[in-house]
Amino acid sequence: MELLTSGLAVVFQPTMFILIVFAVFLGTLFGALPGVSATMAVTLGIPFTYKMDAVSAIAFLVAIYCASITGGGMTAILFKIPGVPSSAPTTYDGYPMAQKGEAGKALGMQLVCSAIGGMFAAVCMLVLSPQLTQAALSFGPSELFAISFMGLSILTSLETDNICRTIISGLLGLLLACIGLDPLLGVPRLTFGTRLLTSGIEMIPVMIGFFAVTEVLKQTAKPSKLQAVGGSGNMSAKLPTLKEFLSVKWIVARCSVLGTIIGILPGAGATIASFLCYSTEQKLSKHPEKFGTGCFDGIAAPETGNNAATGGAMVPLLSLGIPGGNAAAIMMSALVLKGVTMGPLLLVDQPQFLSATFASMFVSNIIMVFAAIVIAKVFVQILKIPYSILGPTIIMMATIGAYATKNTAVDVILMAVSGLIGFLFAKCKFNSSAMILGLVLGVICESNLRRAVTIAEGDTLFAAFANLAARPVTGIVLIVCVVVLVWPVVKPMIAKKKENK
Amino acid sequence: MVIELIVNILLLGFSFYCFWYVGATMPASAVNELGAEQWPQGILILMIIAIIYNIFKFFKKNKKEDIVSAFHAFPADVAGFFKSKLFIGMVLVVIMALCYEPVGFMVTCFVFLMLYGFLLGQRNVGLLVVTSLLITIILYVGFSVFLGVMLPRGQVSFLRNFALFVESLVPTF
Repeated sequence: MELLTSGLAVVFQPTMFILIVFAVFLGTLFGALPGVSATMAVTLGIPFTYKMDAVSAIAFLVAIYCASITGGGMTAILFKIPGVPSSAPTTYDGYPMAQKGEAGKALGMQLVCSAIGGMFAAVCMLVLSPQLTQAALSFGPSELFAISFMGLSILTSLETDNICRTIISGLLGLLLACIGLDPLLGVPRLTFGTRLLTSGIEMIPVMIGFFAVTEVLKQTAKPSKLQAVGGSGNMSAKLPTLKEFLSVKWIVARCSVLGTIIGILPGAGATIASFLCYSTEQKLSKHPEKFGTGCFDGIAAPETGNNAATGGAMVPLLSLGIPGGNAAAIMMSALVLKGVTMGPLLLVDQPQFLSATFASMFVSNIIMVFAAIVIAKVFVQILKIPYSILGPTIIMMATIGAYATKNTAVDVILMAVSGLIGFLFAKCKFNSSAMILGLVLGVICESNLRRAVTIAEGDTLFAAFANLAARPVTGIVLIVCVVVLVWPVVKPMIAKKKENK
Repeated sequence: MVIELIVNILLLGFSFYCFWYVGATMPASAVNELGAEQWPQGILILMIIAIIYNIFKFFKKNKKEDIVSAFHAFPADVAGFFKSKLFIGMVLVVIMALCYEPVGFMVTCFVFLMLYGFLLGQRNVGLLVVTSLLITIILYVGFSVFLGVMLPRGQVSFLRNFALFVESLVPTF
């Protein structure tokens, strides 16, 4: 209760409340713009947080994150183009409803379900995070290594039809994290004799480059044009009637739980949650044939699921200091920049991080409904902003974010170079998300493993590793990691064998 | 297709070089210690294996004739790339990053918005000038004045004075 009141006290401070309302509008707008993903929305929100304290910064970024996931559903319904990848299943039923002239109703259902999913996940986060933190407090370096390795073990699941390249990308991220002063010995490593690399690769400019500049370059190479259903008229969201909402109540309940659980799993995130919720509900439905033709069930399931995943993704970040996905990784970098030490002690020493995140999520999800209704009214007009104006503006906002990290133009150059490399990466079908995951988790993984090996005291390195794996929690988590890592590789092989038989 | 192969080969070469470099420049570790050089070397070994497998898969997936014809077409593709909007866009981004501090935010932003907008097909110069100016002012005043984010004023005196003049027009809070 104390946590709850302290969180609400932070959020309802006049300045903070205005900032959250602003963040919700910004997030909804960014999420709704095709080509601006939720991750990019959070990235573009970073420059706004430089003068905020750490608690306000996380509350602000969380509001942008939640709102951008919801905003993505709007383009999915009106244009059949998901604003964010997690809104892709919303197109299956949202767009057919819009074609039938029921775009307003579809938008209304999407907003209500998103808000409920988001609020449910926020409550789960408030309840689960302290429990997980308590458990994590008894962990030593070996357990912390195992947990951070779990974050890396999902590399093979990120893109199951492109596993090899995804692994290379993740390993490249881990290698980049090695650049700079060694975390234990303090000697320069992989700096190639240049002083510029001694402090390591700054994460925020790299992320901004990969997620913002690369996307604009992609649009430069292949511009896409949008055509809304219903032409250029105004669109207004109609909130569902009680009867309409009651028809999807069990779907909302199931998908809230499922989405939150998936969000907690490192790397799984909102996209997997929305697809899984859609397919689960289709299987459970008495009328599966209605899915894909424009029904409320097909909108309620993915939209509840993807917003519930946002709250779930914050659980490992706040309680263990392990980001569950790209957006969480960016939030983590923003906090680290402010001198916050991530890890289990965060919530013990500064519980206001959890309470502020919860309150921000809860309040944002409510404000979001009204913000989206307002934005929907002028939505078609907003999307008329030509990309020739929007694209360069995104790059300039990105440069502000990169420059303000340390007030040095080197970071802007790093951002530009990262953007070019990101584009080359995309061309060669490497996975940028995997690389960022490796970059963020690299230092945590390495320093904990090396400390754990020293504590394990083996006669040889192999004996030290054996002692380390013999610890119960470490051993179990590492087994889970191996299964998660190997399963996507083995699964198609088993399926192929079965087919041959 | 060719670029994919080239990138993989370059990555492979880079990985071998880094493996040697990290071993040569870091202090050697004790037998029961995971040293500063072993973690990156472990990553590099896995990376080398994965890249070799990826190259193997590339040759397995693509027919020999396709690869040969892609190599024949490569010089023309490269020439086409240098003439493409994408390449110009990349050059603009790099030039903008290099000019950011010496020229200052305001001029860099205004010129970049104009040029990139033109590159993306906006031919209405009047609209470009107005929107670029408006966005530059909004970003500069919004971030520098209201949010207190330091933005470069430029190292050339008249550009710096101009930035200070714009700042002086906005009331401080």
